[in-house]
Amino acid sequence: MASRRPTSDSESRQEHTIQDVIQTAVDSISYGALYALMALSLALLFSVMGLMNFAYGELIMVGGYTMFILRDDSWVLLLVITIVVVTVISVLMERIAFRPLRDASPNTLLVASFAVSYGLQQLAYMTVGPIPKGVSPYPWLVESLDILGISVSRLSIITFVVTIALLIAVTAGLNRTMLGIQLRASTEDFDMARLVGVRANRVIVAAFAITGVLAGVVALCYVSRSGSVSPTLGQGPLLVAFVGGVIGGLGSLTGATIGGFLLGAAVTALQATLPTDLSSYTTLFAFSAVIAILVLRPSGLFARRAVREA
Amino acid sequence: MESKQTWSGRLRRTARLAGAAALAAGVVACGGAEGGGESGGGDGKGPILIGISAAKTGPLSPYDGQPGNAFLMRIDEINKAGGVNGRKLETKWLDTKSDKTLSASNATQLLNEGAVAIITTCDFDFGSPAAFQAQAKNVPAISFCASSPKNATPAIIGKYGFSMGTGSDTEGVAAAEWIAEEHPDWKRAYVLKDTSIEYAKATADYFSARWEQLGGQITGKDTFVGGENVDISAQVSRAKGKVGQADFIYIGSWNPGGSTAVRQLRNAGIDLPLVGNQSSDGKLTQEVAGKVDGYYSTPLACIPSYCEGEGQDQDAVTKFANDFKAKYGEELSSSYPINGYDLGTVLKEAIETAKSTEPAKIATAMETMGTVKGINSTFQFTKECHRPVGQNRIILRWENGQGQFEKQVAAKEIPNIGDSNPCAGKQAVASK
Amino acid sequence: MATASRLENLARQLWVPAVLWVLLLIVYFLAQFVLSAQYTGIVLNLFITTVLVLGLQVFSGNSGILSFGHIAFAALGAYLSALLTIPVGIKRTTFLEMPGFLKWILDVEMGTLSSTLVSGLFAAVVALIVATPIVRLRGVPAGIATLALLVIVFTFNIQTTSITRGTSTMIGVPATTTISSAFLWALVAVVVAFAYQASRRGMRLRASRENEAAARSVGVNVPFERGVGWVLSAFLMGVGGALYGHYIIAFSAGEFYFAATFNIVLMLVIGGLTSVSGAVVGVIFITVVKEILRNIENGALDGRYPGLTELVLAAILIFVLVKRPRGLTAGHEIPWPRDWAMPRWASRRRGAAAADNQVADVT
Repeated sequence: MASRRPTSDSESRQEHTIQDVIQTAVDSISYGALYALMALSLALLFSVMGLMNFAYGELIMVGGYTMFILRDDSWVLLLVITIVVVTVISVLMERIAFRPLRDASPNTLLVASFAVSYGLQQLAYMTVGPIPKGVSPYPWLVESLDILGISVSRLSIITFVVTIALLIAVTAGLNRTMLGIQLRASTEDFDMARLVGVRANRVIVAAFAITGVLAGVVALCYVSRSGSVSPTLGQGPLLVAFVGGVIGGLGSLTGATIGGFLLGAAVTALQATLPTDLSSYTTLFAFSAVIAILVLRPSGLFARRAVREA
Repeated sequence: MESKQTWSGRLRRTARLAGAAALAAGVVACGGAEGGGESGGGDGKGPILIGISAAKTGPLSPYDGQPGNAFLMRIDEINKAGGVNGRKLETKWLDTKSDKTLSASNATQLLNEGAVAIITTCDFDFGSPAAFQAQAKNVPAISFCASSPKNATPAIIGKYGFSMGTGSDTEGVAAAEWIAEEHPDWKRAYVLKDTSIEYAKATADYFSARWEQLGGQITGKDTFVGGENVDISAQVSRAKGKVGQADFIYIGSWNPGGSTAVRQLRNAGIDLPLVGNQSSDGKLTQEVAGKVDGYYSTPLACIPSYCEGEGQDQDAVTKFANDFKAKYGEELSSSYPINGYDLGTVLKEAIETAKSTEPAKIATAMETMGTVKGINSTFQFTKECHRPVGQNRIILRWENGQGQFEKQVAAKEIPNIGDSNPCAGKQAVASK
Repeated sequence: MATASRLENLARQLWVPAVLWVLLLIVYFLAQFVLSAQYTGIVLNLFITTVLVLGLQVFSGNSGILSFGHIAFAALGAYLSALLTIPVGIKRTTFLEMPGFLKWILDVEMGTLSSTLVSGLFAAVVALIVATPIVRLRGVPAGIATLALLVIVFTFNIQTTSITRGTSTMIGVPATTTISSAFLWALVAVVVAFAYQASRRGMRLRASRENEAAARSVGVNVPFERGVGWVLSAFLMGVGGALYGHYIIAFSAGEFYFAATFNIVLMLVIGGLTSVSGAVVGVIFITVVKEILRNIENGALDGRYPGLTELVLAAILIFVLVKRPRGLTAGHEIPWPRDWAMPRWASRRRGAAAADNQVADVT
């Protein structure tokens, strides 16, 4: 490849390569952070009630449509309402679909979440319509800053900062507040927690509310970047977050978060670094690695205990 | 006592297990019995039935929705003006739910009810099951807008397969010819190809082939996987490294991913001219790419909801857009509905030419009736190429997020890239 | 007496497959002689789906591991069977870039029956190759590993245009799957799934499903048994995929991905994961509910509310899962007539009566 390029260009190419590496790193990190948030949410629900929530992607979709509706309002309003709406839908989801299935097997819960996901998508098709909608970018947000010759968009920086802040906040909340401690106890051993007086409904609703808030934030960052919303918007990111979470260990919140981060970042990085004719096979390589990791560490790279069995 | 209990249990179980099936059989049989009897076609004075087996729900519905409604609107107009050969046209649209089995089963049902033509979904793969059913009964099957050259090949579906889609090949070709003609200073192309669907790949491949045929250079190529969650930061970084070696970037993609790609290229500070196809265009581009500058797309017409300027027959286009809004309460979101509307005209002329409602004669008439005048372009179907040959499209220039009419174009010569495209070669320009 | 009980034993063994055969036969009969022509395709598809869901059941039902990767085997079956049967003339012009090691396939033109069998075997061989990592896993990681397999095969299929044509449609696939051939294959699949379930191997795998540690302790080689189920189920998937390919004729890689996966997983779990009856009941139930809803949507509602079918279907599915969390059959086979449980109220009363008797005895 390189030999075919004009030689006069080689010097500037060298420079580009270094910049490319850093730029790819920045992209990968900010993307990975988003997947970390999603994986954390999935792990939280899985640990508390054995639910692999495929309808989580539809929360992001709902968030996207809320953003579309509020696209001309002030950004503060858009921010707040999007998060509120997504959280409410998340809690409703629990109340309507998952509460009656509280003691069902993980397989049943999983299929129920397919049904919820499918239903919400259909609702979107019927109400908003099938044509994708666009959310125009705030020019300030997507502008690139040139830092030492590396261009980074403000959105990447904000995504990264917000995600880290949220991860810290969630960790602190889980460790410092009464509800958080109850939640954590429930993720360790739900039946035991119930025995010592943790109120199941409260904990589970709290888990859904937290994942709702996180989904709201993910929607804000994600849709700001891609700029479009459609009924099946949530499916792609959900898949990566899911697999990432399992690699890290869905049974451990920290593990899943790191797993989501790593897979998200790896997919982005692979796409950038593989030669062009191989980069269409990115997912193939990434998922082969996934199988390898699962075989070597079935309960996750970072899990301390065995994953609850499905 | 014992046996009685078991018997009641058996009944209960049987009812539970087989109940649904029996009920279904009943409902289904009733539903089925309705069809078959009346004949929508044939002779006589009753309405002529046109069947639509296209998607109202599911992933394909964005492509069928507005073209479908535009078609229905045109049929209404035709009926108000007295119908065809003194008879009204009647339409029946069964939802395929973006499912292939239903695509075929709808077509069978519509054929049983006597449809003289089957309108299929805006995609070759999903429309072909319906088209095969129609072909087997010698009834023309016409896609709303599927633009794969395969759709236009009588060799694949058969003599009765048609499409209103102008062709993914013509999009890439028209762009290449326009640049060669109008921008002789743009010599080096960087081609960004979306590999997620056939359409996107075809526009990029035909662009590249025609561009090199016309003596242009391709100094860089990259691919990405388009769709809903497009992030091409890696491709953008690579492109940035080659900005100095290219004069413009051609993007073969589809919405929403195509518009997202435009947005991300611009956000990264790449200010080369960008050229895209018909599917990376529309109101969505405006919404997704924001106040984008220097992007050129290749739609069928200048649709007033996102484009300004005077294209050919602009008054007719504007009237069409206004009528559509008045009827359905929504603005045209792209130029695809033009195909749907023109399809109504095509059917009317074909039935008039055939002087019959016999499906096989309608199909023959489509090949032989010569030039048809659509909303803003003339075109014709030929024996070899079952799609609107010679249809115009426009180059639309995006300025500060607003489309501007730039130029009226039509593909002049489609190169042979080895995909057995029956429409390849010099394009007959339908006389105006 | 002895002969009678031996006869009954035999009859008991044949009971479930026989009932399922009759059920499928009724569906076949309805489609052939009662329903109008537009249902032919839908019923044909029902039979193909039966083969696929039974294929999934052979592995997932007996091992307890829900697989999301089985559609990958269907894809392999569909593609291979297409490549083996497309007329040589068409193949030579459409597969210009066929890699060297596969060039021989351009000169092959098989009959559909043999190509379907070869495709099933091919899927089984691929399953055998990838079995080593998969069978060592269980629970969620196993499910995700199978999902990864699906993504890998899909990516390969869509990107390797020289062999699969990628996003482009297969051209020239003979349309040989008829409602009768699909029906016969569905009958075969019932027998295969049931024979495996009743076999020693199937029983060992089910033991590992209930309690892996206990199964190991009595000498069951769990990964090996999983492997057997995995390979056998891949065979059925390959056959199902080939049938689908020869039915739909024009197909491309996108068809064998998430939507198809969710569809068969949903049908199996709704019917009842752990039984062969569950698989068949699930397919028929969901197909029938969809058709009823669609008839209402197109008939009484005149197509005014597109999407209603799907919305109501989602609600029905959740309702079924709430009422019967283990599926419509609760994961049991259709019981022998004389074993049919009494309605719940009756057995409860009987139990209460027995308890009363006991109390009476004590006093």
